[in-house]
Amino acid sequence: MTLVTLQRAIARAVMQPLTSSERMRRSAPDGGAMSAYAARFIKPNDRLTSFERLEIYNRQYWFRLLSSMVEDFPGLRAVVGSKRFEAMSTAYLTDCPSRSFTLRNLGAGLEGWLRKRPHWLRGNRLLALDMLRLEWAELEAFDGQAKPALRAEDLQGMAAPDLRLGVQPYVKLLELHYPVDDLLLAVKAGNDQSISFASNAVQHRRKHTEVQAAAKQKSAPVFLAVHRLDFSVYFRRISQEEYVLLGSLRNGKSVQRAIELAFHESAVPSADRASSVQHSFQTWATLGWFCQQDENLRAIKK
Amino acid sequence: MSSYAEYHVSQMTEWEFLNEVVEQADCGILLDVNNIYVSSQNHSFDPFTYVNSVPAERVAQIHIAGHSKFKKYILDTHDHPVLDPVWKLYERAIQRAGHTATLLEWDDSIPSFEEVHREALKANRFLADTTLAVAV
Repeated sequence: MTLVTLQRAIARAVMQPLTSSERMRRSAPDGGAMSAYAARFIKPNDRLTSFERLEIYNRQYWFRLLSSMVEDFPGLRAVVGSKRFEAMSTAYLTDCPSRSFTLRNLGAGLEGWLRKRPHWLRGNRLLALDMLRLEWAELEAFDGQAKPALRAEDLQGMAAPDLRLGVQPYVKLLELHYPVDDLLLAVKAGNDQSISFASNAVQHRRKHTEVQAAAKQKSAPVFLAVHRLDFSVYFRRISQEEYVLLGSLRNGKSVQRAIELAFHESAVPSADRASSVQHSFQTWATLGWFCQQDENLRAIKK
Repeated sequence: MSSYAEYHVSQMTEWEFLNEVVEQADCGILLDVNNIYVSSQNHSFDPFTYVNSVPAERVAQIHIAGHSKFKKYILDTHDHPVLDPVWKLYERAIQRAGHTATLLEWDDSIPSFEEVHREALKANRFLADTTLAVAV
């Protein structure tokens, strides 16, 4: 038997979902009995059968992955409910098993997977997808690339009409239907409190109430920049104009063109636009959001 | 690494395999003495045989951690203080490798920073009798 044959056989068994009582399944990936399958590869010892030794890996694999999903998506879990979240996570990880060396990427395919299976989200589809996108953006903002920032002084000498700026890769721009930023902060605040059994129940009810209240709100566009400062992630509400402006800059438009697009059909009075843009640019430069434009975009323009 | 199963096709011990890899790759070793202890209990070998077999001059970092005991096996859980048998292995490891960068792993059921820090500083009590990076 080659090493790769052994590795694949063990991986197939380890990655099989657990039973409802969190034990290893009795049937093996090849359709036979798991006890015979395990005995083919693994030695028993004086305390454990081959099945039991393999089961340690099977259980720890799923416990680790599911706890990582809970850690990465507490907001989505609050929206869909903890039992449904666990079943959904198991189904997702069965369809899209981890292929990365790091658990950080575990939820990378979750949005695409869920959009094809909206039944997991029941009546809260938009709210749940908003929350998922926010939580994934938070993860990407945490460790996304930071290029050398252009400072306010750097921008002063760059007043040409064709000026183009890049937006830091770690700044994530979101258009949402619900104020899930507030909801996520409330969920996390609840999770952080020290919990006894009794207070856990109280927190659970409070979280449920907050989610229900958010779901009942009339959907209204919320524009958000998820960014990083001093190794912490922040949510910053921005206007629709700012959202379009930053998005257009990121897509390679000139500053002048980006401003035109931002204020197309805008309700902001013409007289206020220049000062509004100046204020936004000053804030973003101070936060370090501007960088040199992406080389690929520069090449396309040429 | 901590392990819970042995394979019918295995042809060498883990330390023999490790030594072969590091010699051929000419690289350093991150020696996790808690993992060695956990595996020794799960596979019934003497953990000091493992620690004594590792080329001491290649040990670049040592990891220590807590583990959980179950009825039939031990699990590497990183959610407890370091247990005495692991400190004994640590003591032996630095007797051989000399003063070596050491990392306490505690990433589940994490207590206060002060408690984790106190646990990490316990490693200092084993340093007094050792010299800087001299292999034995």
